[in-house]
Amino acid sequence: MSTPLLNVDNLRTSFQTGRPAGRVPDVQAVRGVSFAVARGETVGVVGESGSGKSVTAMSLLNLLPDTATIGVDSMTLDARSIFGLSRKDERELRGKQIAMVFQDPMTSLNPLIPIGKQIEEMFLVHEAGMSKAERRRRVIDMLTEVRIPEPAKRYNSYPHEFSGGMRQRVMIAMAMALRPQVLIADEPTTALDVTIQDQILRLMRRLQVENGTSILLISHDLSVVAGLCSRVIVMYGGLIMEESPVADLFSRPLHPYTIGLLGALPALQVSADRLVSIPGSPPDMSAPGDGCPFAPRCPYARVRCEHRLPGYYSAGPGHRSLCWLLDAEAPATDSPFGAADGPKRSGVRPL
Amino acid sequence: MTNILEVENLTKHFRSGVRGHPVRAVDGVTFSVTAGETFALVGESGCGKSTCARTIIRLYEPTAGRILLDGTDISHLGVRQLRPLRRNVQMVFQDPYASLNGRMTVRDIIAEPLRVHQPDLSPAETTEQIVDALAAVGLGREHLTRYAHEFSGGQRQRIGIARALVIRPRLVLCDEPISALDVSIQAQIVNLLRDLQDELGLTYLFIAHDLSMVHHVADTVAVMYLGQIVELGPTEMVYAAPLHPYAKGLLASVPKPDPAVDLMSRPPAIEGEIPSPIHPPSGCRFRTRCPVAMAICSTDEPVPVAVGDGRQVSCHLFK
Amino acid sequence: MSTSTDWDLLPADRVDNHSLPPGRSYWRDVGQRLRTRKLAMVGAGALLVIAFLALFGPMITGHSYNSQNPSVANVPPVMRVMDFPGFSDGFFVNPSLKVIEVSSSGKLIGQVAPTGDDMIKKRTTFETSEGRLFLDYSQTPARLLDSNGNPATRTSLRWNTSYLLGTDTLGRDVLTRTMYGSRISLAVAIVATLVNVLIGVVYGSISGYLGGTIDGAMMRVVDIISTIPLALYVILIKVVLGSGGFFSIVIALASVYWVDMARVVRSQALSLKNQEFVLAARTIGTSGAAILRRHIVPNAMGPILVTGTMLIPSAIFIEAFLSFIGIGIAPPMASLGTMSNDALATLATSPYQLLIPAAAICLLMFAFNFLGDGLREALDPRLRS
Repeated sequence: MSTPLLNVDNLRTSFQTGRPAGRVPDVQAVRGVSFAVARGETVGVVGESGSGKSVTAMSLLNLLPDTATIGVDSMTLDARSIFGLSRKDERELRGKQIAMVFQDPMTSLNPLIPIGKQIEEMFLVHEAGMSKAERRRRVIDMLTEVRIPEPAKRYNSYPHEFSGGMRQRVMIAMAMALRPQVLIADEPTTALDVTIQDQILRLMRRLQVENGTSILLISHDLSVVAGLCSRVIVMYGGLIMEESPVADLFSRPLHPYTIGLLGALPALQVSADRLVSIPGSPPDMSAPGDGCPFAPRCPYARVRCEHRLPGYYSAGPGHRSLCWLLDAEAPATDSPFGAADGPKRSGVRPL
Repeated sequence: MTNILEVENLTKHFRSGVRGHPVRAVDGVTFSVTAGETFALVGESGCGKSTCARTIIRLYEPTAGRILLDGTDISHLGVRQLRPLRRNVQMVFQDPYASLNGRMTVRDIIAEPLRVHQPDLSPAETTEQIVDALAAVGLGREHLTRYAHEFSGGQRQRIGIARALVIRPRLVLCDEPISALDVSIQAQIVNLLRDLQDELGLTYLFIAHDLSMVHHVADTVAVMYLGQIVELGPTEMVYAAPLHPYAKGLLASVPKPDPAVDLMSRPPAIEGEIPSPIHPPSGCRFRTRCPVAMAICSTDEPVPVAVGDGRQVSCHLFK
Repeated sequence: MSTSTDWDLLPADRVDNHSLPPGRSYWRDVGQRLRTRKLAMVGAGALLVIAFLALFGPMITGHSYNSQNPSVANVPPVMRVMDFPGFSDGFFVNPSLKVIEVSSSGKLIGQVAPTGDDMIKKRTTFETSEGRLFLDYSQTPARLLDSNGNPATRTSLRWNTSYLLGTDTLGRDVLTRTMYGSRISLAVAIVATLVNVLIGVVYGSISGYLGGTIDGAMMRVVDIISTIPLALYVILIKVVLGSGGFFSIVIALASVYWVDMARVVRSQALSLKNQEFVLAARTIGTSGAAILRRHIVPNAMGPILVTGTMLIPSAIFIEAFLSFIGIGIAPPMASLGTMSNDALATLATSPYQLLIPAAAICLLMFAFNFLGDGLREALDPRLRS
């Protein structure tokens, strides 16, 4: 295996919530997350609100507010560290090497500046030597690439003249303008309608294939991830619960949370009478405790789950899961891995 | 089977910034809801489904058309005449954070409908009814004195449901009741709504844009596009074999939770953007994005055609 | 090694009885945050002290706000007292060259009546039971000499214990008058609050909630009112009433001082009325008045409080200002503004007469502003966890 393009080792991000500091416990949004993204790969990060998936992405680009504290053992892009950079290097990194697309295309564009100028800004900042005519030509190329009709005319349009889907196309054009190595897309289609979502996902896929960009797609929707990603990271309570190649995750989920998420999907094909629901509410990240964060909601939780965090168990190439039930000593009763129709624990070993 | 709700040619136009051109949010919608069923209005944002629900419950004044609740025309009743009828129709809202008053305790929130419709209840009886309603949605007496902001999104939505149900309505309008919730919580709420329907014999008018969830909950589905219903029929049939080109495209756009189905393996379902409801296209409103549009589509507005099995389609292909 | 119990299944009903954090209302939260802000607490404490002094102070001082005692006019809080051999009491010469006998504890015993005045030598003679004194005003400052023409053996600064903050030109107690003036300032604050709440909040919330044409009409009224300056109202009302003073200021404030609050509340109501919880109340059938009372106004309380704490000090200042320029509180009533104005004439010789009411105005304004700033921060939702 070649070295990954983006490598994150033991990322920890917390937020100070109260004033004065220390009065209210900090929210530990990300609690030790490690992952890697290979060149040209699309990795999906799935989780509910508060799982830490967006904070993970924002930590990569150091885009969090001042109340955040980021700690990491190593964070590299192309074997070069991207943590603790100077402001200048950080600017260089953002946009040129790692670009980001946000959820809300309504608020991520400046309403007072024509969209052409906003895209041009990317070239102005990062490619200082470029002539004005050249910049304009490149902007129109980008608008054409994201399939905005009449790009030369639209260059001078303001964001409010665009629909949500078109604005997201503009955002993608801006993100892809400098051909970044990594595109982080944080819920890029959540605010969009389903037919527009389809269009945007296709656009992202096409751009990725054409440019060889790696995509980190953050989404709450397993269906979106299923269609676009080759690998999936499932987050809960600031931890990676399971990481797996996408086909493996859907056919052989190895964490009760993943199993619950898949069960909660109302599939189009079958209409079961009841959906499998996960009881309870997301955890309070200001007091996450020592145990598995999912234990309070897990139907299979054991006594030890409440007090001790398990280690990762490997279940084949690229597939790992953070669950005590995968331990060789775990009883087979009251376990999804013991049931006849459930996934099998065979081949699982501690990592 | 009786119709609890009949909507005839319902139209709601809003004033727009363009003089003389109203926003045609809902434009001639006709459907009826049978007692005990779940009737879903689906469509993309701006199709008028929420406006439709809000006009039915008379948050908005209808521009034209009739709303018959149990045979009574409520489309032009005044606030006072409407008040006793509101008992029968309640609404569950989309945003669990915005739909509960943050300055009120759970008790006060759920007591509000009782205060209006059963003002003679003693405090003890009120509490009893509130506790019953809370129990029905899976919350307990200990939550009475809590404030809404102390609950998670799913729990808040349960409180919203308890508020809607405490006066025992027969028809509940669910306006995107799950779209603001996390996936695992969505399933909880959908299951809860279904259980309550069985227990209390409720009728739901379910507004949603999540097509897969609608497939799961609805008996009858009406697909809306730019203020009009383009297709209506039993959910199973519509989902199995949609007739209207828009319904087809819409259903095809839903991402499949199946990694074996590649995104690019089929052509894009629907190209283009939704036109403005201020200047809708002439003739069939979908013709600008329709892959099979014909000449007649730009001149004549299609009328709903019954195609058997309780299905109807508004499309020139089915004349 | 793991024990067998370690692998026991947790009970299934644990999910439902997981405990919530203790129930706290929004206002308890705000109160708690407010208590952590030192300046706000200082402001609130200062207001309480001022309010207490304004209400009960004049009863304690033993002076009335309008009783004049010209014999002890213009005596500062700290006096330069001269002692002479053979005299048990000291003497203080006020700026108008009145000689006032002062006891060793700082009590004013009274003016020593002059018995003769030699205009050529520029000296005034005072005959007391203990001896004779001369006031030599041939040079400035005037000197007090004993019968032998010697200056005082000892000159010392002594606290004025009869009038703690001194007296004004007419010999009235500055402390009592300041407390009395604060009483008027606070009364104005209360009037402003009442007007803001009773008219501003009600008017604004109705206008915003009803919207449309009614809102347009109601807001034009507000526009018209707010274009005319307050001073003009006061003068007009004074003319119409024939009398004036406190009452005309109250009426002026009551008739126009709610417009800013009405605007703030209206804009809140406009956005709140489309919130889902208000829609929910409407679908329930809750009446418009109840929606305003139970949903709109409580949720607009933050901006209402913040606006209120900004408007109150400005109302206090307006009263002081109008009184200062002579169209507000009429003498002999004491207002911080009239006191400041009265003090102008003797500013060079008795600056304390201006400093004290000015300081009282500052204190009041600071107290309200600190409290307002604290409230604003305590209400700021961004700091809410």
